[in-house]
Amino acid sequence: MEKKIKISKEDAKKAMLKMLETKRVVLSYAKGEISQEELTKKGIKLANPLAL
Amino acid sequence: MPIHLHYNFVFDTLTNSYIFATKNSILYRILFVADSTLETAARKEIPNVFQLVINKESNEIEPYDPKVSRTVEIIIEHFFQNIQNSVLYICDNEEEKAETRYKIFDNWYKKSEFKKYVSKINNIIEVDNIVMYTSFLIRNENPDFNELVEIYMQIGKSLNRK
Repeated sequence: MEKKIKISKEDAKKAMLKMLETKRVVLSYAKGEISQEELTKKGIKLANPLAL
Repeated sequence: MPIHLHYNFVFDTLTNSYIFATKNSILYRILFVADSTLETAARKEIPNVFQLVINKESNEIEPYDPKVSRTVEIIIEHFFQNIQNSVLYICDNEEEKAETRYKIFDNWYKKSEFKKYVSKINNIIEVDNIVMYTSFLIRNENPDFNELVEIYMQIGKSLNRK
């Protein structure tokens, strides 16, 4: 029998806020407001679909 | 819609982004970012989850251009060549027209060729008075389909529970 997945409200909130922060930082990068080094410092890794 | 109706695009290896320009000289940049949303929530390692970020490098209102959606569609199709890849997309209400963008993205999906083999699940989530319009795209053949969809849905249920 498959185990039911339970996610706490705290973990869900942390995950969603992190997702939103990532999106905002990447948009700043795409607009040229921050560098790739700053992106890396924030732990954000861009993927190259050609290499996936 | 004829399959050739799209813009030429390039993958810029310096910025790790897809780039294309429309007939109105509006530049679009499409990025895929390694995303830890599902693994943060489920407290376990979950590879091959990415966030899709679309940046239109102009605030001008562009007339409807079906070639834009077709181009984004081709890029996403390419990304889903790996059946284990899945994608999160988010718009939030701090952006102007977040709901409109979310609906546009939904229309793109509904008209896309890849909807035959990629499922799209939506979750509108409110956290700290921020409304997040999110979608999760996953290939139907993904071996972890049920688990990943369940985690994504549980995030919404957990946060939207009063």
